Amino acid sequence: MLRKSRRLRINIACAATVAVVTALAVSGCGNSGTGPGKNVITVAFGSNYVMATAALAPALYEGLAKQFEAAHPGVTVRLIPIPGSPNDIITKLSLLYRSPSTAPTIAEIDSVDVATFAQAGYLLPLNKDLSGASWWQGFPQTIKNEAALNGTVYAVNQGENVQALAYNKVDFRKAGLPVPWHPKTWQDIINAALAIKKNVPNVTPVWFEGGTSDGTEGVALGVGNLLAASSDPTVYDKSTGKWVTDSIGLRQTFSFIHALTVNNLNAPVADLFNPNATGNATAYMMNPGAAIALASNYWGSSWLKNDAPAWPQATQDIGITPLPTVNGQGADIATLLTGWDQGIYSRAQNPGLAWQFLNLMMQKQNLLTADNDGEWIPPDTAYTSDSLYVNFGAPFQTEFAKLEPYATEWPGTADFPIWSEAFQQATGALEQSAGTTVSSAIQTMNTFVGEGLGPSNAETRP
Amino acid sequence: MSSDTLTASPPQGRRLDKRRFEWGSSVLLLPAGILIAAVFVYAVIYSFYIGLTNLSLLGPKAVAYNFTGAANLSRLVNDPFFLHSLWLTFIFVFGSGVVGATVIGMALAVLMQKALVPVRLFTGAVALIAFMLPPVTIAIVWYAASVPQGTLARIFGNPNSDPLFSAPLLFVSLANTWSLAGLAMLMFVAALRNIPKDITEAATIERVGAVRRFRTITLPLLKPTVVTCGLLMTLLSLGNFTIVWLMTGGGPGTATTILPVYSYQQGFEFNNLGYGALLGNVMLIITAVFGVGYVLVARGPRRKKGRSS
Amino acid sequence: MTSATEVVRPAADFHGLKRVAVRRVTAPGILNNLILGAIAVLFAIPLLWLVLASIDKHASWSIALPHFTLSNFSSSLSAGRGQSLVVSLELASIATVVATVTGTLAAYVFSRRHIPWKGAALLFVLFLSGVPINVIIIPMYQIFSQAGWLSVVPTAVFIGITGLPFEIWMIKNFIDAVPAELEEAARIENVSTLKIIWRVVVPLAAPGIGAAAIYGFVNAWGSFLIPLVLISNSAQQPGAVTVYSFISAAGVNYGDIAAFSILYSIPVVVLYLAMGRFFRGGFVLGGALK
Repeated sequence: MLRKSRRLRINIACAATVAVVTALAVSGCGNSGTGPGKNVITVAFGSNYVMATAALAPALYEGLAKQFEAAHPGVTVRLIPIPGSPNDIITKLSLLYRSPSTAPTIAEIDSVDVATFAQAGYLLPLNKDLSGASWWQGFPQTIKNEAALNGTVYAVNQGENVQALAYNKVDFRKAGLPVPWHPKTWQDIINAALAIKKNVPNVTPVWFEGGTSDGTEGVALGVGNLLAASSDPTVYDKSTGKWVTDSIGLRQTFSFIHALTVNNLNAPVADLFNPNATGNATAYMMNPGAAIALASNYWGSSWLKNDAPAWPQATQDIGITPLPTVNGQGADIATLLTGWDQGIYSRAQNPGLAWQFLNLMMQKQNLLTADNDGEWIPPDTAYTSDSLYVNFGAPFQTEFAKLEPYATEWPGTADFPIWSEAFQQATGALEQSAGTTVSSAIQTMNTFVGEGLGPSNAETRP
Repeated sequence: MSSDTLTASPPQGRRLDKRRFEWGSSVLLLPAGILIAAVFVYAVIYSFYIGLTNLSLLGPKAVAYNFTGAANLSRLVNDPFFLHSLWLTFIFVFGSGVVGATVIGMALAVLMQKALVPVRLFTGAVALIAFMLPPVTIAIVWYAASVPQGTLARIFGNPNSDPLFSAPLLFVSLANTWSLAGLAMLMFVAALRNIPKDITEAATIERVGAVRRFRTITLPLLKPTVVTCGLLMTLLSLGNFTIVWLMTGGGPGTATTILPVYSYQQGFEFNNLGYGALLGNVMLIITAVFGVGYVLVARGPRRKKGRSS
Repeated sequence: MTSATEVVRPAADFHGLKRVAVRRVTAPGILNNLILGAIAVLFAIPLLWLVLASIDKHASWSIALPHFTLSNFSSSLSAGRGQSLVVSLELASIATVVATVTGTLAAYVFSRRHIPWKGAALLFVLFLSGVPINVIIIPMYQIFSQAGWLSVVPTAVFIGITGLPFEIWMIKNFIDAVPAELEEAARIENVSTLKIIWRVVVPLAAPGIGAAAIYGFVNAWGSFLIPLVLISNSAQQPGAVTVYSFISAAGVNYGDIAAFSILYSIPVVVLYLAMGRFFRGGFVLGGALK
């Protein structure tokens, strides 16, 4: 028995070695370092995370590829689907861009990181082409600036997320609160939550996500919106080049979160800190249920179209109202803006062709399809009344779309992840323990920004 | 074991009393040597170099980076999170890996010697499956086990309790031990098989109690395996980054930011490849130190008792 | 092999004497089994979720009585994910062969031959085992992309190399325990070293080499970051990467993930059982008495 196995093993080993060497030689002869060629466009996108389900992204891009190849005979569109979480997508993209032979002609980059890619010199300035594009005119100025550095635009938004307060009308009626509900200040939110806690004990009063588990996305879809609604939402002071670690805005935000934790109003930490909390929130609203939640626009379509989970009752039970500013100042509406952008490689061999593909992606029909796949709001406010968009999650879609003009963005430059981490850590500590005070949260901001960027880059605003 | 007692025939005219390097050896070493040199040596040199630059994954320093000399080093020295991370790493690697997995593996192996066949088979199978599951699955399984309404909460009392977020380091450490104990068990099972039966039987006849038998006879004979296993567990625990990352992402706060996690965060989340590489180099040095320690501990008693390695 | 109940069986005509069957249930024996059983159950508890969720139509991360369905298994393999299991097999097999073959050769030299500064060299090999993946991945990506190696086979070779230092070290310990004298006879007859390795050393060190091979296989099977970065064709991603496709912005598909994980674990368990033959022979680890 030993003889046969030994001989077999030797044969296997020899065959394997030969195979390996041959394969290496052959595959090495194939691709070498100069790039895909003038008639090839490569398109990189997140294959399972970005769209609502893993099947949608490949289908969307394959459709676009077919359209483009039909309109441009002789041109090939090669897709580069990237699996994994947003962090993996960014990691993979940053590696792909390091070498001209692998850099994708067109890439899908999330809005928080797109400035960093531009700073690295990977993206083509688009101002000239955009001045002639009719679809660009309908974008609000904030969205046009999303991927701009010093006036130069490097990428174009494909779809946006905004946040508002979702409240459960059934719970509100039980607590004797007004329906429809239009809070004017943050204090109104706290009062409503306290009333819920007293009168409807089996429901979580609020769902406001913070902490480090879900990365920047977690706070951008969560408590970051509070900062945007505060008296001083500044995160990065352009005039001094410093990052804000202490300001009225931050203190207001931290006080609010502290109040939620101290009064036991927020959802359990295990749910808030789940690595996929932003995705799980829609299920949480249904069961066990939160009375007031900081909700994103995709919640509606998740319930009504994508079985995530299926909750047709939501159209009756859930109401949407904008997040008010802290003291009711200004328009009394605030929300952060996050989304996904499309950019062209700065050293593409065929920039003209690449632009035409981008153009194709931004045509109304294609854009609306992509936006429904990604559960986003179209960047062009005019499209938000199109039935394709509205019916995807009526009545929620229209409610959220109204907020788009009021939305603000965070600066996605190279140092931003460190500020974001500091903010995540501070809010996480506040949500986890009632013992965390506002000053210790500010201290956390200073520690993280100080360590990551140097204390001289931290700023306290009056 | 000293291979110096082998007598391969040396070429004529050379000294026969000293071991010589045979050039024939290099042919055998070459395949592995080339592969290792191409990957590890190059990567380590690159890593040590990058650790002293401000290379970034993205942003302005992605392409146009500079050699910054000792800047990263002074940052390391002043980094409050580094020491914290080092301490967590010590608990995680030494506590759950070296001590935890080794002790449990040894316990399993020893108990399995005298157990009923079905019990032995079941135990071996479960422990080995735990070792063989891919890290992603282990992370998901333990996440499901240690959150509210999860396995542990349901079975051991309050379904609404939150084991993972009340004691995050404990639970990622448990996950680590759980995933490595199977390998330790394999090693001890083999080592126990090599212990001559006559010694233990003689002790049994002399009515030496089981515990004392274990302590005075079995344990000393297992010592080399214990040390070997310890080193293995150190390396594997340091590499169990995926489990921690997927379960808690280094959180809540910085509760589970062990050095591999911290290095990954710095390099791939904050885009500081330079600083991340430096942290990775620290891990390398820790491993090297531990390796030296192992060799010293392993060699000492052997030389004393005249046993060959 | 003794058991909790010690039974002395009657053997007919054992030196002409007859034995009496004695059955003794010993207290230490029962305790032994109980403790072992308890530990085994504790080990199995986390796996409980895996099994329950895989057959649950409405699986979540909490434990519940399942709404029984087997559809998770089929849906977890849909959309080309079944292909990823095949890729995983390919990847892990190549990696294991590369590492184990070259590792055995190198281990033989470390064990039998004289190398200047052998102790330091061995330590250096150990040191290399500790190199964290995210340190290696960036320079490797540069090299691979320039050489056009961003596909399954070169990635598999690379993964094998990452397990190589460990395997060298493990196999070296096993070869150490094979008495060198056995090779003397072959050497006298002028048999080539390679033949000696294949015919004398390897069969005797087989359990150890088997263990190292299993380690190499498991190492490659679970490798996630390397294939994610180095394999550019997403249809050629192994199972470790594909398991992420159940996690999307809309939520985690727990039932599918559990089912997929079970399917994904089967080949490794099968491998272990197949290699059981080697292990039954008994390990001969470093530190054994000679």
